[in-house]
Amino acid sequence: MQKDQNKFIKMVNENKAIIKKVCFVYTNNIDDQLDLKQEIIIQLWKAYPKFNHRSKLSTWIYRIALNTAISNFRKAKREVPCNELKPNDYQITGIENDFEMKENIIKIYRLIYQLNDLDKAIILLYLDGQSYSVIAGIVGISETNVATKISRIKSKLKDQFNKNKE
Amino acid sequence: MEKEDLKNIWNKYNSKLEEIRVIDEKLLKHTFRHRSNGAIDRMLRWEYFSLIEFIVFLFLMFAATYKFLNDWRFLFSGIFIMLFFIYCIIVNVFSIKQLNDIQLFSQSIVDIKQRLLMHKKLDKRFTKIFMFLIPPVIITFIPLGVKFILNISLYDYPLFFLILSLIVVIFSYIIFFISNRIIFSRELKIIESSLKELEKFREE
Repeated sequence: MQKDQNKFIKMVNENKAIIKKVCFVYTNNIDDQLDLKQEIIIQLWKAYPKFNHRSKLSTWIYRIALNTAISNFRKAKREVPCNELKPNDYQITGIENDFEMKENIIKIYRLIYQLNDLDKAIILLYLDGQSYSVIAGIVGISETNVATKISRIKSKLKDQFNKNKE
Repeated sequence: MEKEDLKNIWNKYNSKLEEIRVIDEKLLKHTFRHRSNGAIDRMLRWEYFSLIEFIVFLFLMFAATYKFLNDWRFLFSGIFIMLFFIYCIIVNVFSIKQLNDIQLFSQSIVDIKQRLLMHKKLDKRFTKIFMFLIPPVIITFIPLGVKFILNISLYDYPLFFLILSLIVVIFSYIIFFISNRIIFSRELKIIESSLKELEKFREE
């Protein structure tokens, strides 16, 4: 058990950025973010014995994290979000002095947050460099469909990004 | 912002995220100690609770009906209520199966979303039928229950039973129609349109 726990902690720590990003994209306040993070870890732990190494570990983590986020949407629809995420909550360390970069990242997150659940997943996977076939497998649509959707989401984000900049 | 910029910004951010610990032993121990409170787990817990409740009531009704088997009025009431609970148990089992079939680690996002919406649809439909059946169930349950517990036959007091039944029926149906208009029809419409959107999303 202890050995499994240690292996699990190591595995999650090696892929921690995935969990962080899914939480940032699917929540807009600290309370929900912490809830979701915990829920993702629980689901990962539950599914851990069933991981068969047939798919890449990161793909498997993405699948569980995104599915948990989508099925766990309970408090996010609060009318008035409490403890709304502040720029520092996005943990953009190492670039404290690069204000433009920091601002851009937050802007991207906030724009992605406005997309629907499925578009959020697609763009997150795309930005993380996942192939179209992996995205198609995780989301459950065809590769051609993925390509069309990515292009639509990108132009939507680009328009919004530039609109906000003006 | 060009396409490349979006990815560049993201990649730079990504490398920074790698430096932060997301999980430690403390969080993991806390997570293991506390039961999961995810949406599916909560729904499942509720379904199991309802199932136990319906089974207990079914046995109670069976005992009550068996006791007054000779009186056709109680026999009819008992059979009606037992059929109602059997229906509830069947829907409950189906609902539990639907939720247990959801596998977060192997199914696609679209699939999970569709399963959750289908579950919600079933749940709303069941609640609607449940509310519609509640008045006749109560009316048949009251005399059987009173006879079983207090050994008093309400059928011997027809006027009182009639007034009581009328009050229950009127009151229940008012609640039913209001809630149906305000909650169920609207929610079912939302679920239906979400399912259609999902289908469109898959096909587009």
